[in-house]
Amino acid sequence: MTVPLLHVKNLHKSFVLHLIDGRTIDPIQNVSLTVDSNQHFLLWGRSGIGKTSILKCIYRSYLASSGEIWFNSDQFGSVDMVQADDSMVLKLRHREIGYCSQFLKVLPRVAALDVITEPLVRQGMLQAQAHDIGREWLTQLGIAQRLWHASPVTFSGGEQQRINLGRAFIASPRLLLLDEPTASLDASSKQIIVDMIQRAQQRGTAVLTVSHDLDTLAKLADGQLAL
Amino acid sequence: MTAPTWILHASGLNKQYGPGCPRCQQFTGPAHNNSQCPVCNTVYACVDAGFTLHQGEVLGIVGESGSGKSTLLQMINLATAADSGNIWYREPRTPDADPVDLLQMDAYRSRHFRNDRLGIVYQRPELGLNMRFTVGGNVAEKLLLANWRHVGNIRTRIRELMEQTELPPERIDDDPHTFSGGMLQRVQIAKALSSSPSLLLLDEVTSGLDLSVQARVLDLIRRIQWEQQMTMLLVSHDLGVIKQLARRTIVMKNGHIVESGLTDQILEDPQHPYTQLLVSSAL
Repeated sequence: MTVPLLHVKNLHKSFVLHLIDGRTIDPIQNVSLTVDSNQHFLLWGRSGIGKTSILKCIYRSYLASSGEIWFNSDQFGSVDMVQADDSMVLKLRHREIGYCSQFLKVLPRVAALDVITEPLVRQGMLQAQAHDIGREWLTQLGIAQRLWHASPVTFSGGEQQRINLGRAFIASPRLLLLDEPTASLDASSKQIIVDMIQRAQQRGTAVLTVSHDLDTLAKLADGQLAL
Repeated sequence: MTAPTWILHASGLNKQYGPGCPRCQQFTGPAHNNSQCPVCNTVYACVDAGFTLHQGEVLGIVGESGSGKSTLLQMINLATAADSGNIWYREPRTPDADPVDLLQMDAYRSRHFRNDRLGIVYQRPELGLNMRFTVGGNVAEKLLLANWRHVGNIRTRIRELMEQTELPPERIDDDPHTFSGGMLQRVQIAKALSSSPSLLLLDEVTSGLDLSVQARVLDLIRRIQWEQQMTMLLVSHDLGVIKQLARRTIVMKNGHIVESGLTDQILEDPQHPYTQLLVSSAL
């Protein structure tokens, strides 16, 4: 029997708001899902139902309150992201798990070419080589050449989102977590994202997408869960 | 079996000022929002602190004034004697050698270690620099302690370091009083890097600087960290600074570590009431 790339089991997340009388919010209750290698899994549902929280628990930006999140690492075998120590999580983020938030957050002094190639350089690739690859990606993403050395904070919302997604895809992680990848994009930009997801799958990347844009993404998904 | 990747492992570090009394525990600590015992006036600057620092990593220490973060940094800098605990150090140049406990070293070895393997940058330049020496003289001081003797070689090395830290090398013989705040931080960084340390300690290095100067100093630190894969311990009360540089963070309050974790987790899903207050207070 093959081990799935990601197996989330009975995930539960509570937030205890100490500054508001210790009030508790439970956005995720008893969620389970399985994502296989090369799969595009879509998690959908109305706003505020906890879709992004699930992604953040998997990436460990949020600490799960209970449950298990098993990631089948190439390098370290099966790792429970709920129990793994911080150093292990950083190693997995470095090589195997990518996360793309809904909005691009970058320093306003860093050029688009450096932003998009940062994951490659971080993995040890020489900057010149990374820039060659980065230029190809920026072309594919439809970013005008005159913008490559400007900071993406000056770009339009759609351009920023394409840079954001390009940066997530460029290093070909084994699992990519995408939070509303097509929000704020026009039809042609959405098509670029669809192509990127398909190409990533061909390279062996599994994609777990959170979205309510079913029109664009449902036809791509070969697994889904409605919340 | 692969060698561990940590270079520093501190555990059970304590520092108190005063004799202590049986009532201390009852009145001090984060739960009581107090570091000083009202009965015996003992101040608990750092209580049972510990962390592991991996090669090439930046670990942030965040907390309000008086939380004990600088005391912890100064214990690692071997400038403040810990009352108890261990600071295990593994030399990255010889990863197979056994780690040594820095707190067990004699005064001579401790002084040599501090000069050779550690670099520190303070918030106030006058703490890290001798303002009566020239800029070059300040950097030379550390090189001389590291047994550099040839004046020509020393000056060449200082010019290299000034270029590396984006200072004009022709100002090597200038009085530091003629330098701006941001430039003095660069002189401190040049001095700290002169011995090619394995660990750089940064104590509120950008506090008090103009925003644009702050950004340039942070960019410089980020570049050095990246190019040299420098291991850093970064103390700051500014979550923005921590977020830019540190992948992992520990949060201190009243001398105790109240929370530690990945920096994004600390910022997005803080667990401790104090961390939640800290994050909610960010500008």
